[in-house]
Amino acid sequence: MRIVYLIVKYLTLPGTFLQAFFEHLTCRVYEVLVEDGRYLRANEMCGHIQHELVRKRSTSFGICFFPFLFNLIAGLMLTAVGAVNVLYLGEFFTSGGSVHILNFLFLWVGISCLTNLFPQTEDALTFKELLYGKGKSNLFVKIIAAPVFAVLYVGSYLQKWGATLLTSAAFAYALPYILGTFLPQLYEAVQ
Amino acid sequence: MDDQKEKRGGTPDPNAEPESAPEAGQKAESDDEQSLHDELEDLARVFQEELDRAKAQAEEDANRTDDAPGILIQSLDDLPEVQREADAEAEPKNDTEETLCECCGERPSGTQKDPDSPYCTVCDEGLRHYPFDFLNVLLALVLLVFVFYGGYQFADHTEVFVRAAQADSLAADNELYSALDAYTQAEEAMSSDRINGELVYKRAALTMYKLGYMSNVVELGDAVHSWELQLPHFRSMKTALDRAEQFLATGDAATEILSPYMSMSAQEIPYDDVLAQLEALKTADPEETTAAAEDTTNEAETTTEPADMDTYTPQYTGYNTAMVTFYQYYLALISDQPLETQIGFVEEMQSLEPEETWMYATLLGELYAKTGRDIEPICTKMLEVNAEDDTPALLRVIALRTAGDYDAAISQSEAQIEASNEYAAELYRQIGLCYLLQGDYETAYEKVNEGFQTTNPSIQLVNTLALCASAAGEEDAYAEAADLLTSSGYAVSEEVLEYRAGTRTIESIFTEGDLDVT
Repeated sequence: MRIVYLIVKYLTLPGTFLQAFFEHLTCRVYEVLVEDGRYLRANEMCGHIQHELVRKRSTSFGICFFPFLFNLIAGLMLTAVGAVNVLYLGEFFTSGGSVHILNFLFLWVGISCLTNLFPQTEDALTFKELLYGKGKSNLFVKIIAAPVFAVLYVGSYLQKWGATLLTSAAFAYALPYILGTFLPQLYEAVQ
Repeated sequence: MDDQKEKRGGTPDPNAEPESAPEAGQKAESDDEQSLHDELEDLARVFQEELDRAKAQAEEDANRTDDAPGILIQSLDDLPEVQREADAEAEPKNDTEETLCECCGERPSGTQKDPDSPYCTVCDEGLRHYPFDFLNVLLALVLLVFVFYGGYQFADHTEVFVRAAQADSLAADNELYSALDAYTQAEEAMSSDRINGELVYKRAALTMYKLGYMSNVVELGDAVHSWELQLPHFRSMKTALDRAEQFLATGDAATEILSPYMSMSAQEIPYDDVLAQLEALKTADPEETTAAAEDTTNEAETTTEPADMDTYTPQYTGYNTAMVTFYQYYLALISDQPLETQIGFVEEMQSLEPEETWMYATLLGELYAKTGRDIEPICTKMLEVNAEDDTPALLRVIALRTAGDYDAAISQSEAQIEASNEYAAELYRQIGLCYLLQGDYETAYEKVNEGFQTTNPSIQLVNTLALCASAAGEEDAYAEAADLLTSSGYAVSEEVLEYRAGTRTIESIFTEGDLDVT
């Protein structure tokens, strides 16, 4: 499984790098002790920062959520333009006849970012313990945080098995059709 | 203690001088008791000294703990010298490694917040602000700039995407005319933004194919590289291109056969001979025909353009049988063959190419309507293919008119005109025919004339106008209609001329032969 994980991580290098960078940034903001700051190690920590065990709930949430959010924004933007241009419009070539490398690059980096959204399993488990552990938080917080936690928790396991590459590729294929359900109306309204 | 033991008792001195035996024995007993006594006293004194020292040390330790209650682990410097020396003697190496910082290896581990931390205070602070590598920051910035550029590119492509998405949505709802308009807008936007959206061209071509606009389909083939058409995602476009070209080639070959007879009257056309020629076309080899045609063309041309290697050449084997049958139907039509013969050809087209409704549906619906057959199945099928097709509404009006239900035909026609049916002129003509058959010639003329004014009139409409004008006694209007026909290279229809000559009645025109003004 580890080899699959590593293959996916290196195939989606821009997203792997960006996730580790955002994780590093979040650790700095929360003043979490970073034990190893290398981004692309050839082990299960590839694309993640090795940091101390977090004991605060808000810090654990931040470490799990903010790299996810930043990569999601970057991934959505790039996947949207890449998927629309390549998969929907079919702009494979420039008007000059050469291969439109930029469009394929948008698609690759976009899918890469979406593949590397989720936190490390250990971080997700820590967050789970701090959020849903005995007497850790009140019912309101548990309910409010449940959707985000569910996404992060399930995603971390999918990412561990490299399955997020498939989900992000499928999402990239579907994205133009999702955009097509509301963007034309929005465009007409703005025009 | 051992020194004292050696001095005051223990092992006798081998170098000591010997004494007399009785004196020596008494003296030896006395010395032994004294020696034992002294040794016990020494032991008691040593124990007392050790006990006093331990008590003093314990008091000193207790005082230190009271002075600094918050410090749980003492630093190496704080340990008493004696204790440090004792510990160093016991486990000198291991103790040093455990207490030093794992990061720097110089300062003692543990911080005020976390005494168990393997890092010293300085390293702990440093690791909490782990520095970014310059190259990493640079790469991240490049990626972020790339994201923003992606956003700009997306905005640049929005109009094309919106038009294409609208077209696809309309095509999915079978609103093919609107879809085609949207595709045209998308193509214009792509052209102005220099975007080569091959998949948009593909979807536009498939929509045009459904509508039967074969020339436009073939033109769109130039938008895609020829080698791409071999790939799976362009397979449907390749099939459409091949078939469109086959239909066009069949049309060209059939028209070549029919063209000498187009201007002849029905009686002059050698129906069986021409029909046989068309029938032979079904098994003919298009390459031979094309080669023969190209030979004639090349003879006339002095220079030839170099062939574009990237342009796809559609491939097909044989002419399209259904298309040949269409021209056989057309031959039957211009030869005034019975309606049943015409229906036979159109039904054959339907059986050969059931998916190509553009080819046979309107013809079959009209023939069924004229002959009183049920037109609803064919109307339903036409609407399934293109929900915006106005032909079924017109066919229903024709069916009502031929069935003699004039009032219903008129009301339906007016409703359709109100709903902006694209065949408004024809609907006015149908209203006019209803009034004509009811004997209200003035209204018939007015309605047909209204249709004549709405759009570019067909030959049939002008002939109907001429008939209605004759019936209503509007001779000026008839002369105007006849002039229009002759100036356009057409003759006034035989039905009109026969009616004016008094050899035929209006009822006979619409109950015999073609059941209409031709």
